[in-house]
Parts: sequence; C-alpha cells; structure tokens
Amino acid sequence: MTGRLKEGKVIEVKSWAFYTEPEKLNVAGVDVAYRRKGSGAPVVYFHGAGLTRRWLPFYDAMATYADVIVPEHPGFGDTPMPEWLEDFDDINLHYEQFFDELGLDRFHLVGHSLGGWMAAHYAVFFSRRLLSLQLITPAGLRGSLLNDPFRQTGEEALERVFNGEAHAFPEYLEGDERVEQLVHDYAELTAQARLMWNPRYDPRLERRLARVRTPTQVITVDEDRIMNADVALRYADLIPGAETAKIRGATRTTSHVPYVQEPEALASLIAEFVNRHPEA
Amino acid sequence: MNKLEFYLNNGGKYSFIPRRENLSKSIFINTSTKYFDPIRGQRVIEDFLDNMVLGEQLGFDGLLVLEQHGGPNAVAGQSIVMTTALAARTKNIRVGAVGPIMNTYLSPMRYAEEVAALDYVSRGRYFFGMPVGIGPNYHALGIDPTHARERLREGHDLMKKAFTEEGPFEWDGKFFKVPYANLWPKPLQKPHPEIWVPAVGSKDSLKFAADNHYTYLAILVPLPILLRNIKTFRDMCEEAGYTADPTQIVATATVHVAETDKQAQLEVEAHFMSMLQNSFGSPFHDSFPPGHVTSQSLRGMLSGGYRAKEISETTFAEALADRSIICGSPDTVAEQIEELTSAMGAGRLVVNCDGWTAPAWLTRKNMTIFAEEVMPRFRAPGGKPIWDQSKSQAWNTTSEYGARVEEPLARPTVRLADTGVVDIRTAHIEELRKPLEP
Repeated sequence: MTGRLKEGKVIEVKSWAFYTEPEKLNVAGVDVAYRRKGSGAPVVYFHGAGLTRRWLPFYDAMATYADVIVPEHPGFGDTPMPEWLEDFDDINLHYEQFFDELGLDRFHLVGHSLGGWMAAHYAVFFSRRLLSLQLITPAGLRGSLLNDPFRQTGEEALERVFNGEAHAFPEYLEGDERVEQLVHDYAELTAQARLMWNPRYDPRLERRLARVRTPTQVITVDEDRIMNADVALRYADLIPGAETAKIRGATRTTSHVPYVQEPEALASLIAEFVNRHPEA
Repeated sequence: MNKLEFYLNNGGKYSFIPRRENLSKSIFINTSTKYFDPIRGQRVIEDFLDNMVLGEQLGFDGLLVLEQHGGPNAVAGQSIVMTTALAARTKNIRVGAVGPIMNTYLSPMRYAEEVAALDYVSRGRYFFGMPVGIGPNYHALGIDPTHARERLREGHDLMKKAFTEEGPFEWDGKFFKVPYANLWPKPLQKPHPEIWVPAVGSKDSLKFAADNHYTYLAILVPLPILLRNIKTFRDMCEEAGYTADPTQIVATATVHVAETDKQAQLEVEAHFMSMLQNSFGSPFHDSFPPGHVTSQSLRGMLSGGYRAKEISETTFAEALADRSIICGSPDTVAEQIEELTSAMGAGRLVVNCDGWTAPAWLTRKNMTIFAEEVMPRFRAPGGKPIWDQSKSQAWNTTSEYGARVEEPLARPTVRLADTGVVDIRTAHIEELRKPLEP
C-alpha cells in the first residue's frame, strides 16, 4: 500500500506477501533492484512478466542450494525504465555490465518465460561466461505464445497462468493498492512491449541458438496455457547438447508458473543441474 | 447566442454486423470481414460522400473526416482518400482530415507531401489533425504503442520544418533519419494548413496544442471533466503568452433534429444506441495498449473511476440527460448547443448528423433542418458560412435561406377528411396533425 499523508509526503508501505526490500546497484545510471540470498555456486535468475517486487518461496528454496541473485529487469519491479531501452541487445549489455559491477565472473543462469528468452539471448552472445543455462517454459521462438499477451484481461491472464486455480494461491495474488498496482502492471507491460510488441518472438534466435556453448536444460510443465510446450522444447533441439526435464505437480498439475505449485521440487531440479556443472 | 462555425462529420459506419455481445472481444479488431458485402459497402461510402458534399450546399463551414482502421467503424475512415474526394466534389467549403495517424507512416515526409498536395487539390481549403490514434489501431496495425507520443511529436516537428523552412535539409532524429528532406510541393497556405489536435484531455496533448497555437478538438467526455480540460488548455495558452481564440476550441456533438422532440428521439434512438452498443466499448487492453497512455493519465483515469459504467449499458435517457446526444426540435437543439458551447467558450462545433448508421435520407433530413433552423441562430445576420463572401441577392446555402426567409403571408394548408384543415408541412407528425380551423 502507498499511504499519502496530509502534508503531501508519500510513505511507502509495501505489505503484500513475499515483499522484501531490494538491494540497489547503480549500473550506468540505472538503479537496478535485485535480491540475493544463499551461498555456494552463483545462480542468476531472470524473472518472467509479473510477480516482481517480492522474494518468492521458490527463490528461498533455491537459496538453500546456491547463492541466488534475482535482478529486476529494466522497467520491471523497482528497476526504472531507462530511456534507452529498445531491444534485447540493450538487455544483454545492461546485464553484462550488471554482472561486472556485481563482481560475478562466471555463473549459472536460469530464466523463466520472458526471462527465459532473455537468458537464451544472453547465452547466444556471452555463453563463455555461463556455467550452465536453464530455461523454464521459455518464450522467444516463433509460435511460442498461445495467446496474445497484450490482449488479455486480468481474469484471462490469471486463468492461463494458474490453469484456473489462482484461488488456491491467494498470497501470489496480493499486490499494491488497486490503482497503484494497475499503474505498475501497465508500466511493466509497456517495458515488455518495448521488447516484444512486434514481432513477438525473435526470428533470428532459431539460427543463433547454435552458438550457445553452455550446458543447457529446458524445463517444461504438466500443462502450460501460456507457452506452447512443443515450441519451448525447440530450444533443446537448437542448442547443441541441451537436455530437457519436466516438472510435475505432486497434488496439482504444474502450470506456466511451476515455481508456484512446486517451489521445492523445481529448486531441487535446478540445483541438481547446477551441481552437475561446477566451475572447472 | 454565441457565434459558431459548424463542421460536418458523419460516420459512415458499416452496420450489417452482429451485435457486440455476439462478436469476440473488440469490434475494432475482431469483426470478421466475412460480414462485409461490397454492394452494401459501396452504398455506405457513396452515401457518406454524397451527404458530406451536401454539407456545402446546406451551408456548413467545413467538412471533417475522421480516421479509423481495421473494422466496420472505419469503412469511410481512410481520411486522406475520403477528404480528397470531398475536395474534388466541393468548391468553397473547408475540408479537413483529422487523421491520418502519423505513426502509421514510415516517413513523415510522405504525410507532409499528402497534406501539401491536398492543400492544392482543395485550393487552400484544407486543414488537418494530428491524432495519436486510438489504441485498437495500434493492435490491429502492429504499430509500436510504447513510442506512440514521442514518435508522433518528432514526426510533427519534421513536418513543420518541411512546411516552413527551405529544403533540402537533413533530419537526424531519434525515429526518423531523412538525408534530404525536401518537400515538393510546399503547402499553399502559409505557414501551413491549420492543424487540429484531437484530445480526450491528456495534459501532454493539451500542452502540445497550446504551445503550437493549434486548435483543440475536444473529444466529448463528461461535462465537468470537459470544462476542466478547457480551463487547463486556456491556462496553458496564457502561459505560452497569448489568449486562446474561441475558434481554437472545438466542441463535438452527435446531433439529431426533427420537427418535435419526440419525433427526433424516435428517429435517432436506435442509431445512437447502436453506436453506444456496437461501436464503442473496447476492453481496456485494446483501448490502452502498453505505453499508449502515460502513467499519470492512467492513474487519473483509474482514480476517477474509469468506466464506472460500461458505455454499452448507457440508456438513451441517460445519454439525452448528459448530452451524449443533442436531440430534439430546432429550439431544443439550439438551446443545448448554446449551453454546451458557451460553457466551453467554443467557437466551433463538429456535428455528427448520421449517428454513424442512420440511412442517407434520414441524415439529409436532419442536416437540412439543422442547417435551416439551427445554424442561422449562431451566425451573423444573413446566415452565411465563413467561406461565402458573395454579395449576390440570391441565397447560396440552406442556412442563408433559413436566416433570410420570413414568415409567409399564407401557410400551406389542406383539408384532411378525419382531421380538418392542417399545415401540410407538419401533417406527417402525429401530434402536429392538428386542425387549424374547423
């Protein structure tokens, strides 16, 4: 909630579930918000669209295995939208500098959905820096999207993201006061549109993925109503030597956001792949 | 009565589509072209053009064509093409396209050429709009909404420079790189044809219009908000060092006038309700694609209760009460126009006379009564439109006829078997079919 005092001073009271104050790192004039916890091998996680401004139970589960770093992309969460953001190249160079500033030399990279696309694109250019790459229900290839992400109502999005079971995860539905949350969501959608309005995939990625020289695992779910799972698996065909895995639900089918239904199992699956590819 | 210029703006919608609730998501984007019948489509476009051309003979001051894309609201929505046809078929009346959407052009130079060419085709009667374009157009045409305003502004700056400075020059902007910007022909009107800025009320658009001395076309929103926007615009003009001229503020209205209030309502109700139910009302994500509005505007809309009520649920009585439609006898319509435009301090009124779907004959009836009995009340004695400088004894337009004609010495009457002697001009309206003498 954002409270407004009579004197006009705004006090920020962010009280929704899983909210934690982010750390800030100035990268070429942009205050990047990120959260970090755990010890061991460094694992960077690129979030997808939505569920920013919080430290999810899934991150906590990963942090029991690794040093988990979750930056918020430019224009997402508490990282402001830089005037220069135009495309995935800008994201790549932004993160290249972010990792430099953070003193991360080599690390494991995990990306979900839009973040999976970013991670794959990063790996095309900078795979020498990566110890491993894991893509969870990634976007980015022709035919990935089952629906138009820019033409869905809030209700439709919830239905698709949670496979109709959003009610089972009330903490994940919490957010800022109504108007402020809508304004924030619109700003994030704008950043997303800046990257993928037209075309809504990267036509060059198919050819370029052959350049990825990083051990890669593509993770799909029981039932994904956002991304076409067959297209997601194309990543594994296109990246030399890539493996695939499916994260299944114990009690509910896993959806586009398997970290909601199966945070521990997904964290363990990711950690297992990370541990198989230690720094030489 | 305050003085007004009248700009005719008919809709020309293709109406042979299922009701909105039977269509998917958006009428602008999703209405299948299978419903389009070229035989009917030709009729819509020809009726649209014919009635707009009639506007000159009736004495409107200008004709204004809006632009839409990708749906049945847009059959006559290719504004440059339609305006060119109107310019070719009229002699004196001002013609204007509020469109095209600059962001649909790869290069603003192409748009600048079209503006200049139309200025010659119309012999200096052309004016034009610089709309951002509504959200659904960005979806349908695949234009990037996240740069919409910034790209439009740069396109405008380039066009203005091309209109007003000698070429060739190099344009090296963020969105446009033109090595040799060289506008042939340059426009006839100096410095360039008048520019109208249609705005719902975003401060950004109002300031753009105010700073450039452009004309603010006030898209109809609830009156208190409209008046607040007008005040903001006037204040911005003062800040820019001048006082806004009344002709710089343009009101808009859907108008239907007939012999009586009841008759007018009966004639227009279904068409106006169809406009509300089957033309507007895109879902939020279609109306506001990402980046199309600023966070500030969005916060304002959401806090102000954006669509407290779905537009399609508005009743006709509510629409009459809040002046979404101005409808009635000439007296009623004149009174409501006076009320609206004087509250706004507007010197011009854009009038929609076809409710988007009314048949051509009904539209002509409405336009004719409006020109003859309403427009003269807002004009100097003689009722001439701004473009008529003639000193001839003959009247040139219907509005001039309406202004000059006096009460006849004898009324035209007839004896009807059941009723008695009635005025033949109003005998087709039930409540006016009253005996004048036993």
